[in-house]
Amino acid sequence: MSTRFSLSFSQIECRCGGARIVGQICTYCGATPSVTEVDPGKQLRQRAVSQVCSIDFDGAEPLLLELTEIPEVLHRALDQLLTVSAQLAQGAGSGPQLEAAFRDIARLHSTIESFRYRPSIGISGRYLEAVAQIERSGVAVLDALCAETPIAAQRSGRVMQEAIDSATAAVDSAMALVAIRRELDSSDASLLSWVASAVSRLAPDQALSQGYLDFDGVGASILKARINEECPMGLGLSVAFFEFLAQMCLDEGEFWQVVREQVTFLESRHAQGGSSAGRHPVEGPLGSHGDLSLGSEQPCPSPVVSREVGRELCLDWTGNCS
Amino acid sequence: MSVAKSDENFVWTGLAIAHDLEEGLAKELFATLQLVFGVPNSYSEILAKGLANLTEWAANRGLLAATAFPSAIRNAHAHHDFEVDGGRVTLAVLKPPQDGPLVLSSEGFVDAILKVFEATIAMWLGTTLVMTRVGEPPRLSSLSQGIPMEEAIGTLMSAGGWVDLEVRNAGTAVSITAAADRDPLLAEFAGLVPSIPSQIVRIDARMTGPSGIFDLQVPLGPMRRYQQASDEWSTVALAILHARIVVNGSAFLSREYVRKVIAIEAMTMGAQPAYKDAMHDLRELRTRCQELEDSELDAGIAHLQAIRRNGALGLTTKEPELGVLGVWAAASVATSAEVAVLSGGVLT
Repeated sequence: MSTRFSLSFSQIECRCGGARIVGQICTYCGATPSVTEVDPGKQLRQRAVSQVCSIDFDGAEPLLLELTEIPEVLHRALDQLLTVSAQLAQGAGSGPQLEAAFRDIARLHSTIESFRYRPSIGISGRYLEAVAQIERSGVAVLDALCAETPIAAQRSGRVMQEAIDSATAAVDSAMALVAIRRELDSSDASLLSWVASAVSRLAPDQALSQGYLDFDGVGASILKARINEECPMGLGLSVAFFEFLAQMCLDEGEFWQVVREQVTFLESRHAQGGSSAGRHPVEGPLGSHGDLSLGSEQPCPSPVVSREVGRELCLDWTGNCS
Repeated sequence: MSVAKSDENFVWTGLAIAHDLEEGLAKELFATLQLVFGVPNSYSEILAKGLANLTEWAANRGLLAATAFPSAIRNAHAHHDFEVDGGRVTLAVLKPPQDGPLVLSSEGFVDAILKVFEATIAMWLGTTLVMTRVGEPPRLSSLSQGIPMEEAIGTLMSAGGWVDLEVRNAGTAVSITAAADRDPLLAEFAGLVPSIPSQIVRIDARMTGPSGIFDLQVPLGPMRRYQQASDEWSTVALAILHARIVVNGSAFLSREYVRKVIAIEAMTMGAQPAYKDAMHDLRELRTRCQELEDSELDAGIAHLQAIRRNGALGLTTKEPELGVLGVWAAASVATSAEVAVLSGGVLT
């Protein structure tokens, strides 16, 4: 659906003979407008906008909705905003209608906030992004409605379109997660369907020329994009699947923040590897004694990644790496 | 979710998962941080401090991960200190903190449990990343820590059976988690083998299927040899492959049945009219069977070679004894499942 906005700006004939927008400086002769000049259409729009701007929508009462109903309500709220704004632009519509449209968006925002729980946090987070973009488009609409010149209105129109496009992308992203979640929830989900879902999510255009091992490269790219770190060979697959898991049921932002802080913390000790603070004799359940240090400058050529760290992580720490 | 979130069993399971992670992997990861930081204690001394102490230490250094492990969850499980009332879960009822018991909605409870899981795997990933990069990968201690994670996802997402798969060789190791049952997974492995680089020699998997949790080891060498085998050798290659697949520490196919299959094949080869063909095939069979490390089988085939050679040289006058191969070939050891396997049910 597309909505057409037609903002009218009255013109009068300037004393220089050129056409001039009411209330604006003449672009031909630079003559300033008279204080008595009024554009009734613009005045109507500006009154409606000021009415909306005087209201604080924070803490709006949430709607009684299920998470699955959000996309439809989002679209409805956007349509309502655009329709009312278009009517106002043409001199119809009213301030209270515009206010109602903004209030519905604010209530929708509160509603989606109430869904910000794992495992739905990835989906609700994307819906929140969508509603935030709709709010941004609303602000752009208000700017357009009370713009002094057609050029300023067009500029706001571009911002509005960008925000709507971003909102659509966020909803699409959320819907893709919903679809994958539904697929994985099916009882006959197999290993290959997991892999297929992960591929479609993480590397939509990638052909699996090497099967699972392609994910090593995908994971390396993800790690680079997420925390700007190089991925050791073999760890990429874990990275890719954790990313998939984080998108599906965890808080991606917090997950990667914790990964980054671990890396930063440990590497800061790595940088001090020669200091006495980073080296301590340790012992473990196998009775081994070693010297724990992250001071190695010669990475092992054949890193083996396993799922376990902790106590045994500290064992066998001497030898080729200390 | 299909699980009734207000159900007490569900809450108990969630608390148990979080408790195991907090007292297990998360604690060890925090202790690792302290050790790397240079805290002047042995590893066992650091672990003995308890998670509350470790998270406080981490919180004082501004680490976000420290906020993900509330003591109320640990205590709720350890002391059964929780109540479930309708859609709410109340923690620390018996020993409430100063600001009172912690009351969570069912959604908030699941969120808190998943947050523990999330922080733990994020710490694991960050730690593994750095450790691997500096050349000392973390050691595999036990798989026990892996199970709660799988349970966590399986329970909270109701995602059915899960498998934790490791593909490992000297240079590459990867792990993934996904759902599968044993036989379909084996078939999937077989389908994947051509695309797995040759330096990867084995796939280790742990999975939870309808029959419970079990470990599976699939050597890729025999798998490749089976897939490349000609029709003439496919039965032998398949028998060797199944003898090398290990399920819960035991061979997928019994030694007796493998011996029976090989013995029948050996006698068929040895009975070929052309002496050169027979000797060639028996020699090839012995070579192929060496990976079974079965000295009795090796001796049995050697015996068959000797019989055929002696016969060709006219050194025997009476019907030769087939020895153990004859006994094995006649043995009644097959089960219907094994026959189904060898007839191509699983890997074809």
